[in-house]
This record gives sequence, C-alpha cells and structure tokens, in this order.
Amino acid sequence: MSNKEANTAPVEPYNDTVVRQFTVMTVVWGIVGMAVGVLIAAQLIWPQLGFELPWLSYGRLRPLHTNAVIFAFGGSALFATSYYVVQRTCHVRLFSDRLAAFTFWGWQAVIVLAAISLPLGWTSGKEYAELEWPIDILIALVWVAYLIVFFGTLAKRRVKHIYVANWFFGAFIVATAVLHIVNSAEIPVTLFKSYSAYAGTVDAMVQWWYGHNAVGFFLTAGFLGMMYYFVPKQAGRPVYSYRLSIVHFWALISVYMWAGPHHLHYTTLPDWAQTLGMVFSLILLAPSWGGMINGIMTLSGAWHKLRTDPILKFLIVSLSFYGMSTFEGPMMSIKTVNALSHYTDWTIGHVHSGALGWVSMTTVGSLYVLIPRLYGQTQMWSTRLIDWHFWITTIGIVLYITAMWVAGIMQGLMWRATDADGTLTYTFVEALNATYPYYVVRFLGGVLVLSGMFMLAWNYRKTVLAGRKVAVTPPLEQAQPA
Amino acid sequence: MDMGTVRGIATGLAILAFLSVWVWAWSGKRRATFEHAARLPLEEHGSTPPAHGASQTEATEERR
Repeated sequence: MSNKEANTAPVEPYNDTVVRQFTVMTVVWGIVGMAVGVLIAAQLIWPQLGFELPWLSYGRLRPLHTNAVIFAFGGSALFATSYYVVQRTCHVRLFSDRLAAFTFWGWQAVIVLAAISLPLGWTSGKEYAELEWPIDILIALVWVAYLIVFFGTLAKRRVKHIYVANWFFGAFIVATAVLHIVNSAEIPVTLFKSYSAYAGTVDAMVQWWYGHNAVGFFLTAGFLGMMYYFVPKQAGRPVYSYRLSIVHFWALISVYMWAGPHHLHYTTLPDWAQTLGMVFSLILLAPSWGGMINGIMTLSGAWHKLRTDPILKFLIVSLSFYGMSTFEGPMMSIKTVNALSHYTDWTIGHVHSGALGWVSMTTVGSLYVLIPRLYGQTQMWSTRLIDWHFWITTIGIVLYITAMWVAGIMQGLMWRATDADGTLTYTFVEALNATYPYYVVRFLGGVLVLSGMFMLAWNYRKTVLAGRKVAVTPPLEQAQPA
Repeated sequence: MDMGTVRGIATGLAILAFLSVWVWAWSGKRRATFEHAARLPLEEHGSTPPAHGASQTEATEERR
C-alpha cells in the first residue's frame, strides 16, 4: 500500500469465511430439511413408512421438517447474506470475527440439538418454537451475538447512508430476538421439559403473535433484505424506487406486528382481537405489494435479461410467488374465508407458496449470485444447470400448491356439509380418503423441488473446485454527497 | 375521555406518522443521498484495492 493510501483508514479485507460457512450449510440443511418434508409427505400416503418407530412418527418429524427448513436452511441463508451485504454496503469488515464465528458454531449446535431432541419427542408443544428450554437459551445467546455483530458493523461503516437492505435485516434481527425471548418464557420442570409461562387464551395469543411475526420478520423482512441487494445486483440496475423502499419498510414493520390473531379465528380469543388481526392482515396487502412491485420493476427497461438469465428468473418468479401469497394471506384472514380454509390443507398450500415460492427461490437466486463471488469467480460452473433447477423447482412448487388448494377446499366443503336433518354428510375419514390423490401430487412436487436442491449442490461443488478463496477488500474512500 | 375519542386520536396519529414517512422519503434534500445509496449493490469488489483515483462510481459507469 502506498503512502498516499495509508492516509486513509487501513483497508481490512471482508470476513467472507463466516459467509462461506453459512452458505455451505444453507445448501446442506436445505437438502436435509426438504428431504424430511418429502418423507413425511410420503408417510401421509404410506403410513407404514413410520416403521412403527416413535422416532420416525409423523408427529415428531413434522416439527423437525419445519425447524430445519425455516431455521436451519432459511436461518443459515439469512446469516450468510446479511453478513455479506452489510460488509459490502458499509465498506467494512464485520464487527467481530470471534462473535461471528460464535454465531456460526452456536447456530449449527442449535440445529443439531433440534435434530436430536425433536425425534426423541422433547417438545414444548409451541408451533415453530418446539425446542426445549436449554436450547431456547442457546438460541437467545446466539441471537444476541448476531445482533451485536450486525449492528456493530453498521456502527463502524464507512458509507454515510445505511443501505435499505440493512434496514430489513436489522428489523428482522431485532424482532426475532424480541419474539423468541417473549414467546419462550417458560418454567422448566426437568432438564428436558418446561411449561409456558402463559396460560390458556393468553398463551395462544402470545404463541401466534410470535408465529405470525416469525413469518413477517424471519421469513419476510429478512428475505426482503436479500431481495433489495441481490435483485439490483443481478439486474445491474439500482432498485426501481429507493424512496418507495423506505415507505415499504416502515409500513411493513408497523403493520405486521398486529396480524397474529388471524390464526385464532372462532376460538376463545375475544372477538375484537380477532377482528383487529383480520383488519391488519388486510392492510398488509398494501406494503407487501409495494415491495413486490418495487422489486419486479427494478427490471424495468431490462426485461430482455429474463430470457437469458435463469438467476433473474429465480428472483423475479420468487417475487411473483410473494405477491401471490401476500394476496392469498389477507384473503384467508377474512373470517368467513377462514371458516372454510382453517385446519385444511389449503393452509399448507398457502404456507408452501410462501416458503417454497418466495423464501426458497429468493434464497437460491441469491446463492447463485453469491457463491461465485465467494470463490473468486464471475459465475456459476453451469448456467444451464441453473436453468434446469429453475424449471424443475417451478414445476414442483406449482404441483405442490395447486394440489393443496384443491385438497383444502374439498376438505373444507366436506367437513361443513350437512344433511337435511342437520347431521354431517361425511365422516372425517371420508374426507381424508378423498385427499389421497392430492397427497400423491404434493409428494411428486416435493420430490421435484428436492432434486433441484441436488442440482444446486452439484453446481456449487463444481464452482468451488474451479475457484479459490480470495480476500476481498472494500473500495477506497471517496467523496460522498452530503 | 371515552374510547371513541382515544381511537380517533390513535388513528389520526397513525395517519400522520404514515404521511411523515412519505414526506421524509420524497423530500428533495435526500434525493442525491438516495441515488448514491441505491447504487451500492452495483459496486464490484475486487480482490485487490483499486488503483489510485479509480473510484467505484467510475467502475460502475463503465459497466453500464
């Protein structure tokens, strides 16, 4: 480094080690989590696949699947991309290498503990928060370390303005800490068993305040952060409207917090609270679509790139699924619609249109941008293989969600049908029997999505073999407009 | 104060907060900062520090 440059602060290379670690584990846990999903989808068709073993029973594997795909696959992807984006847009190395390494090993430990404890049947029984109290404490510690690393990096940034992707990542980190700590308040009775600190209806409301905001902040705000960096990056154009992204941010985070009660329609929750949840869910359509439009319109004037670039296809189709599921969600929160859809497979279809369509396609698209850059390459080993992955996963998702829509609406209609004398027309098992063909289609859809993940893993491996780990340094200082 | 008034005030404050965000985001003062910020994802970060005087703004201009 010359004397002239030495006048500025020493340029430390970025910490990409932790980004690479989380990126690898995103793919590993994606395959594991989706494979468990395919297994339990198969169990619904062929129940003997549980082999009469308690550890392989559907009730224990289902939370393993949800935890693995949300927190192991989605979580690792969020760690990887947030650490990458915050360094690139702040022009500084992560705040603390040690704390960052702690978040990696700590988070992996949480996942391994989940993979052991859930099949053993240790559960606190709260959906998406099943892990028992000692693991809850570890999660809280890792999350506080994450918060310190992320905001510490923002604090020492060398760029004046904080790029909007970091706002979304920051909100996701803060909200997740609050949600986890409040909802996991529990009283331990043994090392492996605890009971919630809340009781009855209050417990249910706290749980779904947590549950819906896990969707709103973990699976939405965090992935919007990814979207606001990787869509412009891959399109080679700035985001359609930076000002809209700011309004999008504030509107989204203020409205999401109140939507949870829609999970408790027609329960013992007071009616006014149910209505409040419904109204806020309906309002949510506006910021959600504002963000979707902002993302998709970033391609305005460059639509031709969609024809040749499968990575952009991933990112733009993921935004389309986002728009679709954020229209479907508010609709399903309307009490009369919910009366038909709740407890049916329609909910499962809705969740997967969001989780596979939006979350996993955004993640995969972002990984295809990220991976070559982490190994000194300009692109993935095979663009054709990305295209194959795109089509196989899109077809898989469409099969999955359409099967569940039809199954769900059919179940809802069969459950509510009554004969002239007021008795139920169908028994529960008749509705279940009618669902079989749709379970088979859903299973096939899942198999397609899972095989796409193996294409990603193969492409990843070949890209790593062709590349090498390089130390990347921030650009040197320059004048910034006030 | 009855509940209706409280709700009215709360709604008014929420609308005001929402409009303030719009005003803040669309104010002309911030235009240049935002335009600069919006280009942050487009930078390419090399494995070696860039040569003297070569700013990443120029680098991105070349790519377009």
